[in-house]
Amino acid sequence: MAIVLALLGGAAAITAFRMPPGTSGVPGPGAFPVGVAVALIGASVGLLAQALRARGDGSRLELGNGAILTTLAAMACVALALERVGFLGTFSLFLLVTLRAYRRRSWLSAAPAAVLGAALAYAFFAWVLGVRLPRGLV
Amino acid sequence: MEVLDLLAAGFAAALTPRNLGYCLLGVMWGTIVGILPGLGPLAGMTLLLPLTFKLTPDSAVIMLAGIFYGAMYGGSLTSILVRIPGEAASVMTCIDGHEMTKQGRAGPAIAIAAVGSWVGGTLSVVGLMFFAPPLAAAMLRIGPAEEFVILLLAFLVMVLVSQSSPLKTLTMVLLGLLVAAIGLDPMSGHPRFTLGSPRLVDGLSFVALALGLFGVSEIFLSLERIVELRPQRPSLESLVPRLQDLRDSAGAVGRGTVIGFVFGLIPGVSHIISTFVSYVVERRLSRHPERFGHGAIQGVAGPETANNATTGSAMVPLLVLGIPANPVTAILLSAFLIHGIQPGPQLIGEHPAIFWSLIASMMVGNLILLILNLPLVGLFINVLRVPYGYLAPAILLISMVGVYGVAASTLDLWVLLLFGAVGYLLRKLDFDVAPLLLATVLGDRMETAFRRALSIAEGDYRVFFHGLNAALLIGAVVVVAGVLGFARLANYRRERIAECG
Repeated sequence: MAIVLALLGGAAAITAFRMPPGTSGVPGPGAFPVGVAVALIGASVGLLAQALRARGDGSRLELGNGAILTTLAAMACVALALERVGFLGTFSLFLLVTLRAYRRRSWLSAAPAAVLGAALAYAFFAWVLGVRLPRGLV
Repeated sequence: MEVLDLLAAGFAAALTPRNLGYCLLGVMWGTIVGILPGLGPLAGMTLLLPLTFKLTPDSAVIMLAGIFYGAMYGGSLTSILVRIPGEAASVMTCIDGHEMTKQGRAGPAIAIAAVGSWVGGTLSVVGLMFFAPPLAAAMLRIGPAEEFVILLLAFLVMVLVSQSSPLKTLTMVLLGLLVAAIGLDPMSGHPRFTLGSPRLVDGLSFVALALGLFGVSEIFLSLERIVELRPQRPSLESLVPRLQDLRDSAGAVGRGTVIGFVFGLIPGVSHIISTFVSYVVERRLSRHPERFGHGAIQGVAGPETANNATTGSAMVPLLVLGIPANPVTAILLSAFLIHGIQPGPQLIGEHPAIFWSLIASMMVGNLILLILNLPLVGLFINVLRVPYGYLAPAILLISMVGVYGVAASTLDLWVLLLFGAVGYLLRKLDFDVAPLLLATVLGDRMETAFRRALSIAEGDYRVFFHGLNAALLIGAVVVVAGVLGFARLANYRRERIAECG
């Protein structure tokens, strides 16, 4: 994480350095971000040093499981498909996939709950709250 | 007397059917999100934030504030009944609250938690009422140089008192300041970090950012181990507190109110710390400290009072300085900004109706919670029984629709997803993500104050060291940094010595 943050800081500093300079002693749009980015690089180096010193304590970090990865993928599919496929189709599939992942239900038993859930959500958000939702194909 | 007149006008506004309805909606929804592990007031408020676009400013703020203090009530239920804090501030209540449940005293625990919450919440609003106006009047005299130094002080305090390591918190603040820079420069209009995309000229969606960092990441953390809850329902008669319980709790409630109010004022200090301090104080002062951890009622009364007392005082930095003390009040800040109102020293003078109706509604809301929460315990327990496997998809769906509904932009869905993943990763690595969100909210303002101060001073950096105000503030920065830094160092040395045996 420290390395990622340092790289991010470096990229931000380079980008901000190319922005227009200020006038009459007043910093331009890039000055503040450059200062923050340089400080971020410094802090990240400090974190890296701390992490290297603490290395070897035997603990392992466990990240993610099937349910989390499935959720990430499902959310990405929603972002990609929502405006093309429409609300009902997209969120019916989303609920179907997540219900199956979390509740270990079969596709057939999860399908009615998924479609009903998406329909109720559409009714509430579009008709009650007046939120504009894409219709798409469905 | 003027204060009472203004408060009366506030009540008149808060008690209109519309505002009373939104207050009721806010506190009930707040109680539910407080009960449900993995949701919390931040996610609860962010989910309803898009709904507030169509409301008047006073109704919007009344509803969102109701979610904030309602969640404090709700969080205690799961802590007491199933030993799982529904909301982070209810962690300490788990210890003695659940022990009381095991002894068949769930009813008195819930009742005392509700009474203590009402006393702490109401008295902290009274404190807000008397504290805020004179402080706002004093703050009207500050200029951009002083504003920059105040914000710097707020971030410094956040870094030094954070539960996470100071270096990690500093990293989060700096990352937040960079995220805040995405979009058009507020002074020159030059695009910054937009990657050439016109969709990024307005910066990243705050709703998506907040929901991702807190809501979605919390769900990911909960998905690591799905726990189904089967809480027992206490009898209605047992929910009426005994006189002895009230007497035993009175001192803890009084002290919890003061502790919570003080900690709520400090930016960046989580209300969890106030509950921890309250618990430690009660155990230290008790004639029977051995009872703590085994069902001591003071162990419930003190922390529950303290966490509700923070809700009133947390409004002080927001309303008077325009600085949110925590991510929850950052949502309130965004609600104000959506309606074109900038909280700060001028708020009470320019929008007195909003300030006083908020004060009055917080008193009304706390009373509603006390009256309704006890009889509705059964209903709230049924909410807990809904399997998490159904709740999680529903929460994610509401989050995505809420985020998309703000600007009908799929980019916001990607931001939600990205910051959900980033928030999960950061929290697994023991980073506190709250400073990241706060820095995102305050970053533009801090930079603008810095550059405006230099513009007025024609590039002379000594402007931050001139004038009585700036000098006093810098003195405060030095003192706070010195004291807190010394405390950290002393603690660090003690830990090192203990490790070495």
